[in-house]
Formats: sequence, structure tokens, C-alpha cells
Amino acid sequence: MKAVCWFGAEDVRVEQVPEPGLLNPHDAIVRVTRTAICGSDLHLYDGYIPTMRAGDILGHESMGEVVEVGSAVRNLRVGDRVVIPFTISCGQCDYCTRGLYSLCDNSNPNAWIPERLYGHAPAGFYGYSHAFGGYAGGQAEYVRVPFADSGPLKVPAELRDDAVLFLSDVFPTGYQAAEQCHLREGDVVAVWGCGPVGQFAIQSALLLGAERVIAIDRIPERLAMAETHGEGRVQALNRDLMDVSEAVHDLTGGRGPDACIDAVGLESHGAGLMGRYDRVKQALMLETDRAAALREAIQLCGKSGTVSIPGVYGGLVDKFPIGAAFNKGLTLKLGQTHVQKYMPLLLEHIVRGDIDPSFVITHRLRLDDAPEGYALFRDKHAGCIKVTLEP
Amino acid sequence: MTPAADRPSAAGARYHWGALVGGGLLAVAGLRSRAALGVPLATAGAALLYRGARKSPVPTPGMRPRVAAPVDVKTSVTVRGSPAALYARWRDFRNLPQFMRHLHGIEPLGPDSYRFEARLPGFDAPFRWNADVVEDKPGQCIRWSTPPDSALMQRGMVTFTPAPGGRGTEVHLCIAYRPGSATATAVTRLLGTVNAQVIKEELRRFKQWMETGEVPTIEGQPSG
Repeated sequence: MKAVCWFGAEDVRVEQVPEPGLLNPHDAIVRVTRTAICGSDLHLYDGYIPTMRAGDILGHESMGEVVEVGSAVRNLRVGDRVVIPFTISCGQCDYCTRGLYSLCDNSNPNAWIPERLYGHAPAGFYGYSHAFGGYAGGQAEYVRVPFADSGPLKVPAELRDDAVLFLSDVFPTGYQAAEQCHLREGDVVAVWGCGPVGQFAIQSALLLGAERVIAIDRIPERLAMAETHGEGRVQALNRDLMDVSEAVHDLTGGRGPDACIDAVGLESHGAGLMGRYDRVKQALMLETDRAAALREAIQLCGKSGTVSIPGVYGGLVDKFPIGAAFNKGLTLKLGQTHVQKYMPLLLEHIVRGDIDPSFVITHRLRLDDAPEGYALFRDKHAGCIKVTLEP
Repeated sequence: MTPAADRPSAAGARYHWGALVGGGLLAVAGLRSRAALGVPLATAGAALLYRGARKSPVPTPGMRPRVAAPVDVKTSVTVRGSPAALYARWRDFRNLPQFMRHLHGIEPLGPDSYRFEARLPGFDAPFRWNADVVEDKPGQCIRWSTPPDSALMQRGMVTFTPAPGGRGTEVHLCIAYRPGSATATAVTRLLGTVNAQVIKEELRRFKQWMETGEVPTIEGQPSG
């Protein structure tokens, strides 16, 4: 079969590989009908995530048709049309039974690697390095789905792939980011980064009753997308054209946002002296993650506000403004998304017509064109915001 | 049974953290760099990261012990399930090789007596030894030991105690291997294959097997 394989930084190729087979009784095999490139795949593409091996199959946003099920699978049948959550979760451990699927105790065969780095290991993920399980990803014609009883969500035939694909990651990720802000009436939310996760964080904040959303980015088409779909409640700030700190201050009557969402993560561009500082430190190997957006979010967040972090971080950051967070009594909410927890609710929103997640798609490519898709997305060329791939 | 042998020294801990952090940074910088130095830098970083993560011993001149070093491991995990159910699964020693991969087979010789078998790299014949259950408290604790004068001394103890607030059962495992009456090459080889990380992974597999009925794997999956 064809699969998108990682061979090194900026080296992604479509290769012929063997088709996956059942390896465990709870496995299923899915024929992929649609998959997507995630912003977090760009961290792999740029070489920021260690423990990748040449030949690893990428992709953690996929859907398709079940073609084979293991002997212990009860919830799925051959022929079911499913969206696959990026989190692999056993459904049986203490964390899974509490709905904390991305913290599954049992799904990562290489749990010892993150245990050494982080103390404890999160769940395994598809196509996201051997530290996170080393599972072959879904940017391929077929994918093996472990613990198939507690992952894939069956979707109705009348909904297009476009409309439901993002239940696999970016929609739940944006939703969790907004939900954990525990919005109250009148709350103003500021969102750093208007890529796909940022777009869904904005949409979710609106669904959850935010008074207004301030969208911060430097890419005009991303800001325009946020405003176009913002029901008149989204205010876009282009950081290349204005002082973000001053604008946020003015837009909130000096209170600061009640909640701030960092949908940027470890490759934050940063500007000015601090941006250069981070680039130098990263180049000198004194820091792994650049956190310009996170620092600014903490600095601008109003007193007793929440800073919610769906953006991915992997290692260490420097100049973390702990004093601002402490003295303003902020709440920090962070972590990988518990995708399975949100999938049914968000599917309902799609069925009811509250949201059509396909609005973020700017490029529909063939799986064969994946290398071009990675480059387009990373370089934000041709107005690229979200790339889907069809095998 | 003391866990002292397993306790890392302060210098060791510093080395492991240094290797982890330094290795990660080197790897990242190497991968970022498009210059000729990038690949070797990334490789060196990854090796250091791997070494730090594996907690391999601090390299010192003249290392590589030729004699069998004693193995003394103490580890624990919390498993969903009652102490009674976990105890029952463990007490049937024939189940142990399901999650203890350093054991190849276990054959009951009597109600409290078992023959353990390990396959060692470089040896055609399996290596076998006998061990007896020397303490057995149903639902609480199992202790086993090789008889005196064995070529290999092996002792193990597993305890099952309820975790607070319905969080399942805390399983504590102590395993010790020592060369016994004979210093056979096979014993040295066996002790070389068993270490703290191996035992930790075996206890993790026990949890995975008890909670989900399978052990997660990526062996046999495709890659490019």
C-alpha cells in the first residue's frame, strides 16, 4: 500500500509498504478514505520531536471504513464508517474510565521513554514518534487501530468525510481548550494562533457562550477566516500591524481577557528582542521549545483568568513568567486532548448544523502529493490553512 | 531484600539528567541544522538521549564487569482490580511467562514447587532452576525462593494491597538474582539480561494484561 513516511527533517516521502495486519485481539484495520496533515505534524517535519525513525508512517487525523476486526472487538463491524481519534486508549484503565483518554496507562508500548522524560507516560498516539508509542500513522491506504472498542466513532453515511474528519483531533482539541476555560456570561477570550486548532478554539468559545473572541495572528487569511466565521463576535488582531498588548488592553476595557488560549505551541515565531533570544537559545541547545505566545498570553491575561494551552510543548522553555501567573491568580490548563470524550457531543453539533468543520480546509490533495502538502502548510504558502489527503 | 543496589547515586542521577536534557537539545539542534554537522550532531544527541532515558550506568574507565553482578529490583504499579483477583492470576505461576519475558516457561513440580526456565542468547539448551513458594497469604502476598545450594539464587516477593479511594490494587514486586553455589557462565549471562528496567516492564505488562487482556505492541506493523 501507499503510505506517507518520515525520513528526516523536511524529508517526507510516499512509499510502498506492506499492508497492516491484526497484531492483537482488540485491533481493527481501517481502509482510509480521508486523512489530514496536522499542525503538530509540522513539529515532526521540522525535526523537533526526537525518537522518530526513518520510515515511520505519519498521520493521526484519519477516517475510513472498517475492513477487518480482531477476535475481541465488540463495538465495530466490517463495513462501519469511522473517524479515528488520534489518542490510542485502552478504555479500561483508571484514566480512560474517568474520561482522561489521552492519559491512558496501557496503550503506549514505549511508556518507559516519556517516563524518563516526564515522570509518567501519556497514551500512545498514531504516527507521533516512538516516545509516544511508535504506532504507524493513518496517512496511508490502511491503518491498524489498536483498542478498537474504545476509539473509532461511527459516523452517519449522510455526512461527508470533509464534515466529520476533524473529529479525529483539531475540533476536539479546540473544543477542550475552550471548555476548560469554564466561560461565564460576558467573558472575553483571546486566542493566539489562528491555524486549524485556533479556528476551532474560536468556534468552540462562541458555542460555549463567549461574549467576544480576540483572534491574534500575523497571517491575514487566517485572521480573515476567523472573522468570516465569527458571527460578528470575533475581533482579529494582526500582530504585524499593531501592538497586541495595547490592543488587547483597549478591547477589554483594561481588564484583560478572562481566558487566553495558546494555540501556537513550541514553534512560536516571536518577535523583537525576546523572539531573537529564543531562536539563539534554541540554536545553542539551551532551550527546546520557543514559547513567545504563551508568555504573552500569561502577561495579558486578566486577574483570576485561565490560560488554556492546546499548543504542543515537548521539553523545556525559558523565561516562563511564573510571577505574573502567580500574582494574578491564573489557572493554567494544559494537556493532550481526551478526544473520545468529546467526539459524540461534537458529532451532535455537526449533525444539528451548529458547525461545519470543513470551513478550515484550503487544500484537498491526493495522498501522493503529501510532500507538497507538508511544504505548503509549513510555509503557509498559497493561503494554506488545512490540507486533507485522499488515498 | 534491600533495594539499595537499585538506588541511583547523586552523580548517576546528574549524569542521567544531563544525558537526557543535553541529548534532547543536541538532537533538536542537529535536526534543525541543515549544515553537514547536522546529522552527526543529531545522532550523537539521540544516542545520549537514549542513554539517559535507558538510565544506563554512568560510563567509567575499566567498566564491563566479567563477574555476575547481583540483581536487586524493587518496583510497583497500581492495577484496576481486586487484590484477590490479581493474587489469583499471579499465584498460578504458569501465567508468569505471559508478562515476564525473561522467563520462557514454568512447570509445576508440586503445589508449592516450580521449575523455571530461561532461554539465553548463545546457549542451545534452556537454563532451568527450581523455586518454592515459601510464603503464601491469599489475596495479600506471595514469596518464592530457590532452595539452598542452587547454582542460581532467586528470590521474589509480590504484595497486593488495596489502593485508596477505589483506585485498584497496589502491586509491589521485589526480585533478587544472585550467583549461587556454582559460577556457571549461564548464570552470569542470565544476570546480564535481567535489570531494573526489564522487571519494571514485566510488571507493566502484568497490569496491561490484567486490565485489557492484551499487551500493546507495534511489532509486525509496516514502515517505509
